[in-house]
Amino acid sequence: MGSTGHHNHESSPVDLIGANLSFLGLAALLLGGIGYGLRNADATAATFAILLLAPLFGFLFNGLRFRSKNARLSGSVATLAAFASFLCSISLAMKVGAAHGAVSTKFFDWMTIGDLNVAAGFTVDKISALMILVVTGVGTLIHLFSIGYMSHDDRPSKYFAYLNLFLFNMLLLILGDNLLVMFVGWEGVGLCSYLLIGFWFSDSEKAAAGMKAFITNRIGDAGFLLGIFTLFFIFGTVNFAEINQRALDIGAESGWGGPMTLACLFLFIGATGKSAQIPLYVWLPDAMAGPTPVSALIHAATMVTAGVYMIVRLNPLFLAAPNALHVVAVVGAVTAVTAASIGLTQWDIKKVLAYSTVSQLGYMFLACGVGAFGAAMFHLMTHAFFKALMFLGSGSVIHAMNGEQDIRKMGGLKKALPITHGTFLLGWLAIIGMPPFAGFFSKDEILWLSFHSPLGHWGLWLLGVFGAALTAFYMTRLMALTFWGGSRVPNGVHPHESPPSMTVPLIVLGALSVVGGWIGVPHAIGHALHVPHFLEHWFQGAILGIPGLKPASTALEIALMGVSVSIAGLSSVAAFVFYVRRTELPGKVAAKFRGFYDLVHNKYFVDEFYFGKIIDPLVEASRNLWAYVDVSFIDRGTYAVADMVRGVGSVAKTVQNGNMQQYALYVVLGVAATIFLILR
Amino acid sequence: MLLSAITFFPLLFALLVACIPGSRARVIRAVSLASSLIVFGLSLVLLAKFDRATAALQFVERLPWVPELGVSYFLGVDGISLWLVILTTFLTPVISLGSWGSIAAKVKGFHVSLLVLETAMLGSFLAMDAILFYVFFELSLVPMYFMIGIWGGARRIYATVKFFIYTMLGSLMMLLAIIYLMYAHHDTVGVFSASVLDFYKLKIPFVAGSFINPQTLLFFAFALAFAIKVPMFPLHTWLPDAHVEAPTPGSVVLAGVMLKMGTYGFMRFVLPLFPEAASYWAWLFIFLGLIGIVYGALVAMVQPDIKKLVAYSSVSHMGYIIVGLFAMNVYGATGGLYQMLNHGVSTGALFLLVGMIYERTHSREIVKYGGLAKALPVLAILFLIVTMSSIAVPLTNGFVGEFLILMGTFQVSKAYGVVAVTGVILGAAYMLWMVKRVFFGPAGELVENTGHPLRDLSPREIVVMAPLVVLIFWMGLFPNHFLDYSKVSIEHLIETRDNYQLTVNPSEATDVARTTPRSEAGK
Repeated sequence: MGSTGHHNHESSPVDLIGANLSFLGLAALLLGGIGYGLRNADATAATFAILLLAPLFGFLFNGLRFRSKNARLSGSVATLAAFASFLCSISLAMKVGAAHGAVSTKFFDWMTIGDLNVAAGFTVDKISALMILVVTGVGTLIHLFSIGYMSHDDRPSKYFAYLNLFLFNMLLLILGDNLLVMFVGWEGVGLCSYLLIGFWFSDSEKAAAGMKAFITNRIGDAGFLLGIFTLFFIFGTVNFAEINQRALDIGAESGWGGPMTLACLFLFIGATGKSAQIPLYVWLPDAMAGPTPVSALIHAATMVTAGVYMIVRLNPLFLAAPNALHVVAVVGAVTAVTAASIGLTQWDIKKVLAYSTVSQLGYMFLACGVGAFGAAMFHLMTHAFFKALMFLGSGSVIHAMNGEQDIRKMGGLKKALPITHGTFLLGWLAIIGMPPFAGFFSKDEILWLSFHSPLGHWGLWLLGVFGAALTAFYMTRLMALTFWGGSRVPNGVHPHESPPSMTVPLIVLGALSVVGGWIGVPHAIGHALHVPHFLEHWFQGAILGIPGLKPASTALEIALMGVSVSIAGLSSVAAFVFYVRRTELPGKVAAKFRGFYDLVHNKYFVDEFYFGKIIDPLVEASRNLWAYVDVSFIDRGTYAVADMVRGVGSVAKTVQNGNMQQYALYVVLGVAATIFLILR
Repeated sequence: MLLSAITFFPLLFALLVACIPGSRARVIRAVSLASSLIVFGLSLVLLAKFDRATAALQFVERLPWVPELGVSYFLGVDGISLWLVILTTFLTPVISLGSWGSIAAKVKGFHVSLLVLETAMLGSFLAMDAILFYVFFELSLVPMYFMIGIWGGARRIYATVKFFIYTMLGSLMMLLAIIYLMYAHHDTVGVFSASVLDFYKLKIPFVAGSFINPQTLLFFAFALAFAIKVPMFPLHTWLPDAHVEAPTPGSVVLAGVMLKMGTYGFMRFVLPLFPEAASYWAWLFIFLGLIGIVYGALVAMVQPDIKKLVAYSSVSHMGYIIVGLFAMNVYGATGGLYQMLNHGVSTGALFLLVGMIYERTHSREIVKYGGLAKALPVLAILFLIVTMSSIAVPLTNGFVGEFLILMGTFQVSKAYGVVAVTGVILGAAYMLWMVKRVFFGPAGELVENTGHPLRDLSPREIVVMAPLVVLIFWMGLFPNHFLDYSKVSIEHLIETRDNYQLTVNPSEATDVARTTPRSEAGK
């Protein structure tokens, strides 16, 4: 047991075995991975193996010594594991770039039954290369941040074990070359999310939040499964490349009844669960019960984008089901606006960010829905930077405030937390879409294409712009209430800037929130500046262009851009006035529109509806089923039969006297008698 | 001789254990454990020698028993029964070691019962003569009655009576059906036979849409016996009571192996013997299976007793198996067979863990718990792993079985698939809710006020659980290691179900010819 603390647990043999096993496991896994590569003289396979196995090793290392309180050791191993994966990701991404295509490997056949042949096969193409870079890169930073954040926790080793397990599953999800391996990761990240949300499980509410996340996600997963079945029985395969090729061969379906449309809709149910869209978004705000770095990694930057990634992964299939795409677009746009509006009225710093995440994910689905898959991936990436930044920033604030999360008790933190404030500021500028910050480019591309794409509609654009205005308002409100204005910090709390292990990740993510968008400068601007749309080139061949997209008028594109940026700007200014200059205004407005304010503040009573109208009645019905069907009806029937038997003869009376040996004897006699009867 | 050795060694060892003085509890336990390990070793020899390229019956042993009636001592194994045999021999030592904590009184009687039960269960899976099968099938009830009735809880008599009424009713019908089939063989071939292989050759008249025809009646007679055993909704109410009253090892045997005698019966007898009736009535069984999945899950959700919750979860899980088998495609059948093994491993493990909790707190009432994870971290981790297996999280065994069953169901009808898939959601709901109430949150009254601190798992208990946890991941990661043995047999069953024939492995044919009873030689 690697513990340094003097707690009262004695070193039980279990811990010693665990510690030793973990080291053996480390050696075996790494050697196994490297050995596999060397034996097959296959550097790609070895890179894949290390990429996947490093976090798995980290999980075993920390998991088997789960009682250790040595946050530094546990955290270092976990961070190194994540960093090793990051290096492998760079190596694979370079290979993909050089090969202008996918790089694949297969470890073993997982399931072979009938026509179903599922391999533990992995592939990196241009889409997944971007994704693993984001996940392992941001992931490493968040692991590093966690060392400081969890240094006072009781069970840091367990925490880092879960974090590494999450990374492993996320990589399975991204790299799997077929729907089933993706599903393994898909459920795996859900499991880790459950474990991490409920990490402080002694608190009933936190444990309940974890459970809610898992079960809500399970609803989505059920849809995902149905999607897999549908696709398998259309195409006879679950392999992504084959599915996409067949979908291309068949061409677009019209109407709603087609099998591909059905499959896409089933899969989208899965996406609404994992990526917190209407109607399954309710788990994400509650998920903020977990440690804040977890919210940054899982519930902002990576796991929740899985649904978007899955759709992009299958972009030829979704393009073959335009009606399904319309559903995706509408759900995305409506979610973007609804969640943003709830964000306006929340007091918990993390809840604001949570609703913001739901809203931003809505934008990504809007992009997918209008066929702008590249834009979806672009926004996925920039959002990972600025939202991870802001979540970690909020973690730094909460850490400084001794665990306080209510922004009404903050204010004026700018002075005490200069680095946190400075980096948060960059995230704020990025999310409200100010040029030239990262969010501007990706969000603008989504808005433009939702207007211009043949799959788009001006209504979608309008919703998007409205959502952007709300976003600018609630984010400025958050900045103002947390960092600006006068201090409302309670006595006895002395905010202090966080240690370097926490501020370094903030700075790196801050820089990325500035420059991250420059790889996707729109043609309307880029043409004049001679800056290419690098990302678009990168995705060529992996992501299909929008069918029927006409060349656009540059003037129109710039005009729309101007509209959305100025609306967001005005909205920010308004929020600034509300929450810094004339702080009496918000209360007045809330009082004037009391009914509407309460509706929004209470999150449109969606949770109340789900619990009151669905879950509680279901539990009640189950109690009735048990009481009336099982106990009253079926059992009463049994007794009726028993009484009949009893009536038949006096023998039964002795049967009822409860002597076990006698029963056994009757059975033996019965068997013997029947055998005798047959035999002669 | 291998199959006879596997089948009857436990009985011999039971006699050996019976000779040890009852006061020497430790010797009894050690001998019993060693015996079951020897039998497990023998079954591994069987596994190693098993030819997975053929669907034919292997390791056949056949001796005339009552030649006039064509009844023979006839054992054989194929890809359908192989893993059920291994499951039985694997779980018995686990149960034997696990019982050291839960069975304190009448140790000798318990271990004798366990070993006799092992013989009966193995015999049921290996017998290829219907009468022999019936004898083993019934024999297995006797030690089970003892286990519940002697080592059981407060309402054990009530539970055994219920068990008695249900199971006797079912098996009597089956016996009548077997006798009918023996006569039918006499009428068509001219001699009696109770060989299942001969039964397969019979063409039993079937009339669609009517009950009163031989095949439909026989189908329902067999199906009733097995449906009770499984148990299928609405014949399931004996199970929760039996489980709650049974001692931990009894519950593990019951859930782990005995329920599979029912699903195995469907695969071995009902589907291939009565192909038209099975196809015609498949909808009914899928329908009842689906109700079982959903109903079992819903009722499990509201159980106040942990053990009863696990028992109802069995109703739900066994519903999956039934649906998979009656989907009658290769995915459903493979998933069904795999789920039989999964359920044996994971529900067995759940009952063991619930038993370990009970031994520490002497209560199973969920409301009295809370915060157990803090008090017993190792037990909590194991419980969580087994929970994941039970709710079919990928990379555990449960996922492979459930996925294949759902896929097979979906192939039959999208609507069935959609209903079945709700079990995936409800399963997570009732298990995780229970885990939350028992393990998480603030310490409950049983965890807080026990007077003495709760001790986490002992090394013995970890040894009991370790093989189950290893299997959970092994079966989840490498299902082909297991399914490769059954693939040919299952495909044979599905593809030729309309005219299913089972032959004896040709390489063993000479051996068989020598011992073939007159009944077959005569035709």
